[in-house]
Amino acid sequence: MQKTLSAACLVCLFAIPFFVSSCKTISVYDDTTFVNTSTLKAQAVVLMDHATENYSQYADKVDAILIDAQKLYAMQKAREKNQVTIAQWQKLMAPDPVTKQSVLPGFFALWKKKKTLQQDFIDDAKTQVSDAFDEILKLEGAKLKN
Amino acid sequence: MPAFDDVFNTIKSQVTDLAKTTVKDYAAQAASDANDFLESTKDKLETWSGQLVSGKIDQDEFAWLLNSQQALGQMKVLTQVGLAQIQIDSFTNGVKKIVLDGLLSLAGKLL
Repeated sequence: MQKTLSAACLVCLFAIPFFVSSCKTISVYDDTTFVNTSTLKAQAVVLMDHATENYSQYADKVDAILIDAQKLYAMQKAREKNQVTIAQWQKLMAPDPVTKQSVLPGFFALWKKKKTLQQDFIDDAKTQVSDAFDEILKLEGAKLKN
Repeated sequence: MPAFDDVFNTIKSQVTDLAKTTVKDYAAQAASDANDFLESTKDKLETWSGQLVSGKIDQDEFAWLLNSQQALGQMKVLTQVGLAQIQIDSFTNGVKKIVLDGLLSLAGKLL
């Protein structure tokens, strides 16, 4: 009887730390990130639609969007085990080492340089930017909830 | 000890089933996503080249589109990497639950 009790205690002693220990490989879902990324995507795409008009009229709005994007990017860097999402933000925001072009800031830089952009290009670019945000959202949305 | 053998055989079988389901579902989805991206890249390149030739977009705009498609491809790969990590975490959680349930049932049998 005593031997059986000892065995049961051993089982429990093994089981409890095993159950509570955490060995995650990727960050868990963050609702603030998901909502803010969705909002930023919508605002960016709506603003891009105005690129047939003169950039100077929208310069402040472009700055505000890019500041929000940088804040969100910085937030991702502060999260634990979030390297994959950070790398996605890097692809969206930072210049490519070879082409020296970036996706989101690159579009607005082109608008600034040319003053106005052509509708066909804006339509193509909106799809690209929207799809890029969707990749970030797809991964965040699939992360395990706490 | 028969009780140990029963519990560990059950754990082994459940973990094997969990692994098979996890890998099968993930691999099928990843292959489908990769295929869709390659098809859409081909369509986009044809469209953008046509727009460049007809003057609807210029060289700078064409270059931005090419760069964005390259970035999008890399982001899709990263999404797959992240989804694979999520599968690993989900699998680990599943194994933990199976093992814990098994050990608790073993403790119940021993007491």
